[in-house]
Parts: sequence; C-alpha cells; structure tokens
Amino acid sequence: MEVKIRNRSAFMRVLALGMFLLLVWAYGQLEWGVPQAVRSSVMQGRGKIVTSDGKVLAMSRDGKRVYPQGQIAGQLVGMMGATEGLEGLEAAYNDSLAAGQTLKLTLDTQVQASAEAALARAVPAHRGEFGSVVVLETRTGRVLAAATYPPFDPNQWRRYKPDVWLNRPFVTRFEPGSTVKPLVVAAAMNEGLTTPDTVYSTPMRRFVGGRWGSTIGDAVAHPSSLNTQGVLRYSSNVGMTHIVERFPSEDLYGYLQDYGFGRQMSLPNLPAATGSLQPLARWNDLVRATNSFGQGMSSTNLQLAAAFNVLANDGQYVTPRLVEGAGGVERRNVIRPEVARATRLMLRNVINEGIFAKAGIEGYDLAGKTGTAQTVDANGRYSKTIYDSTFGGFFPAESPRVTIAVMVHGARLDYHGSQLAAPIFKEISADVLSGWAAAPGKSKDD
Amino acid sequence: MILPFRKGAALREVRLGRLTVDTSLPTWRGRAVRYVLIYLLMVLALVTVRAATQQVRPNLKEAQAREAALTTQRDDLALQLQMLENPQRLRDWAFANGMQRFTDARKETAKIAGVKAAPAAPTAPRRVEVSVQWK
Repeated sequence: MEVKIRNRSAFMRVLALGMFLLLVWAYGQLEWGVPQAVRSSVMQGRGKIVTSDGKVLAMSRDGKRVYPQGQIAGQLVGMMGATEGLEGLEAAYNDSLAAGQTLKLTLDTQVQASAEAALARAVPAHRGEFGSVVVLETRTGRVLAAATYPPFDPNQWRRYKPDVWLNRPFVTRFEPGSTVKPLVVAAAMNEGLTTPDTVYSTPMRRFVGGRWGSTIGDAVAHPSSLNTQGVLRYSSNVGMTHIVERFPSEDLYGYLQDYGFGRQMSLPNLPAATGSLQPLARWNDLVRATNSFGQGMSSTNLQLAAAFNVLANDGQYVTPRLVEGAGGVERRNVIRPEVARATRLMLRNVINEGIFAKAGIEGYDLAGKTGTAQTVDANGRYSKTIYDSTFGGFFPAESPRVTIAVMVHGARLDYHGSQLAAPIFKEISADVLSGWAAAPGKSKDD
Repeated sequence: MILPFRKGAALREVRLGRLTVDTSLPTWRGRAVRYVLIYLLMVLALVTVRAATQQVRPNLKEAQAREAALTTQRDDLALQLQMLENPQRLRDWAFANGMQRFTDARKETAKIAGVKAAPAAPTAPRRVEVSVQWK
C-alpha cells in the first residue's frame, strides 16, 4: 500500500514538472517566437501608409511588410519588426496601423523624390556627412517632403547602420546660423526698431558685451556701412549686433519662441526633437548678439522650416503637419503681414542681387537666406573644420506657396551656405516650379 | 406530482393531476415504434440533406483558396505598379533620356492674335406676349 502511494506521488511529481515545462515553453513561444500563422495574419491585416498623391509607401503582401517606393521617405516610414513597428511612422502609428487603418500622409512623392535627388547629388560631391530637407506648403503647413541623406531602404533595413535610420529633419538639432537673421530683422521691424533702409556702421569686426564680451566678425567682405537690406545681403554679423542693440532680451526671446524655436512642436505621435534657446536668465548682450545670427541656439530642420514659413505666410505661424487629419494644428500671429511682406522683398533681393547664380532661377522670384554655422565638437568648443551649411527660402517671393529649409552637416569642400545648401534649394525649386508649369515672369534681359 | 396508483390498474394507468397516462405494454410498444419511425425519418432527412450539400464545403474551401490567390495576385500587381511608378526611378530615367526641366528650358515669346469677336446678337427684338387671365 505504502509503495503504491509512493509510486503515485512520484508520478504526480513528474506530471507536474512536465506541465510546468510545457507552460514555460508556451510562454517562451509567445514572448520570443510568435507562431508563424499569428505573425503572418498580423502583418497581412496591417494598414497601408499612403501619400497625398496616392503612392503607397508601406503595404502588406502575402503576410510580409513591403515598401514599394524603396528609398523614398525611407527614414520617415521606418520599418517593422516581427509584429510591431520599430522606427518611424511604423512605430509611431503602430496601434492604428495594426488595427488595419490606412495612414494618409501629406507628402508629395514628386517633391520628396526631388529633395532626395538634390541631396544625393550635392552632399557626396561636397564630402558632407549627412543632410536633410523639409518642404512645407506655406498656407497650411502640410509637409510636402522630409528628406534625409544618406538614403535608407526599409525593405533591407538590417543592412544599414542605426544612425542611417534617423529621420534627420525631425530629430537632428543644429545651430541654424545666419538663416535666423531675416527672422530677427522681421521681429525688429515689427517692434519699430529698424527699417529696410536704416544704415549702420559695419566694420568687419566689433567687440560686443562689455567686460565678458567677445569680438564678433564677418566672413564676407562688405562696405563699411550697410542698411538693413545690405546686412542681409552680405550676411553681416556686425550689422545684426547693431540691429538688436536696442531689442530687450525678453522681447527677442519671446519672438524666437513664437517662431517655434526652443519649444515643443505639437506633432501628434511623431517623434521630433526640440531645439533649445538659452534660458532668459543667462541672456546678456553677447548672447543676444550671437542669437541674432543663429549661434548659441539650436533647432531642427523642421523647426527652421516652420519659422521661415512665418515670413512666407504673412506673419502667421502654422504647425507643420505630416498626417492628414491628425489635428494639433496651432496658428499664431508672430509679425504683422506688411512686415512679413517687406522681409520677403529683402530676401528676394538677397537672391537676385547676391547669390542669383547659386539660388536663383531666371524668370522666377525666389527668396531666401543662406547660413554657415560653426558646430560644437566633442570638447564643447566650436570646431574650426566642421560646419553646417543651411538655407531657408520660399517661392514665389511675393505670394509664397512653398517653403524650403536645407541643412548639410560636415561638408569638407565648399561648405558655405551659398555654395552647398543654396544650390540644393535651387534644384528643388526648379523641380517644383516645373511641376506646376508656372509661367515665368519677365527675365532680366527683357 | 405523481399520484398513487388505483387498485387493479397497477402499471397500466398513472394519474398526473387530471391527466391519466396509459402505461400498458401495447401502448408502450406503439409509442416506441412511432418514435423509432420518427427517428428513422429524421435520420433519412439528415442524410439526404447532407448528401445534397456534400459539395458545399469543398466548394467553399476552394473558393476561399481562390480568393486568397486572387488577393495575393492583386497585391502583387499593386506592388508591381507602385514600384514601376516610383518617382525617383521615373525621374532618373527621364533625365537620362534628355528631359529638360520647364524652368531650364529656353522660352520664346510671340504675340498672338486675340480671339475673334463673337458674332453679334440678333438685332430684332424678340416679342414676348403675356396674357393675364383673372380668376
């Protein structure tokens, strides 16, 4: 009897152990290796990602996720793991895509392809490290293109290094440099502190900031006195220090915030970095002066585009929007419409009188401003060899429909904004204008 | 509620309230035969229905397989179309074959004659007669 009970007890122990091991195995299956049938059906039922012109960026076929457009908007779309989105929109909108909903973007693949082609041609030619472009529809803030170089094909995402997965226009921060000048000039005009014709004494160097100050210098040779238009034309840092001399720091800080710098952008679900402004408590004459030409602050390319869009959109800030119907659009008046128009005129002259060969197109009025910003190296000091080449612009200058921001980092050859970023702007503008078949105005010869 | 049996009628009649149930052997036998017949009829009906519909399930499965194949084919075609329409690819092809942007193309201007004046409207005034009839 006793033996019988002992045998039964041993049997029960083995049975319990077996069932426990079965449980462990089943849990392991769920956690690390989803059964193929479940995985396949999850993939097949996943919603598409489509653009405003009807191109499919991501779809499911035969239980697999495929990206028919290949490298177009690769970083923006991101990629899928076994059953969940890992990066980009696949991760940001994982829940709605998993529920079978189609995600419609504001992107225009023609403009996106044009932006990517322009970057792919210019960045390697100048031995740049990476670059990005943002194209916005001026009135609505719809993102028509958000391109990154080097390109990324989500169909073969394992072949790329993780830094290539980055959606640069949304997440990479940089010092915007001289592209900020027209924004500060517009703010100063809005406050009645300057006009396009106000003349300033502009030596090539000027000491700013009293006891703790520093010498501000200009890179482009220019006359010893310049009006505000000339300050933008020659991108004079010294001229900018004069323009903001009577600008109270808290007011200039407020304008920069209203342009969207140093504040979170209301983009639902999308991962986007926020550039920074120095805290107001640390502002002094030198910080105010350096901020007036875009150093000592940081921004993403998307933020730069949105800020430039204020000038294009008659002084009103509109939050960029990537997903149709996603909401969260914020509008605020930053400067008066007539001030925005006057600034646009100055920026048109910057291209027509200064860098027409690099940024202008015969018969069309384009407006914009270059920037060449020093970058901070690993020791926290400004590098003397690595620069960010930037450009902000829009067209048609009088009544803009499209706003573009360009950034290329770490170019070794011809890294100035006018040599690198401006031609990228020109090429994208030429493609967009050709797509519209916009009739040219009178050329210079007429 | 089962009531007590009447004397002399044991196992033949059971009274349930006002209802009297006949439990005699011939009655049971007749009942059993009827039930067996009903059962056989139902089996027959069921087998007939099953036999008549035996192709439905295979047909359904076949249709499902066909649908899955067509869905895959449609997805394949959509994918192929999307890949063929890739703007980057088309752009590269167009430039390689000498496409010139509209903005880069040389433009010529010429004076063109305006549209001819529309033929004049008929001069004779149209006569409209209105007759009013009061109720």
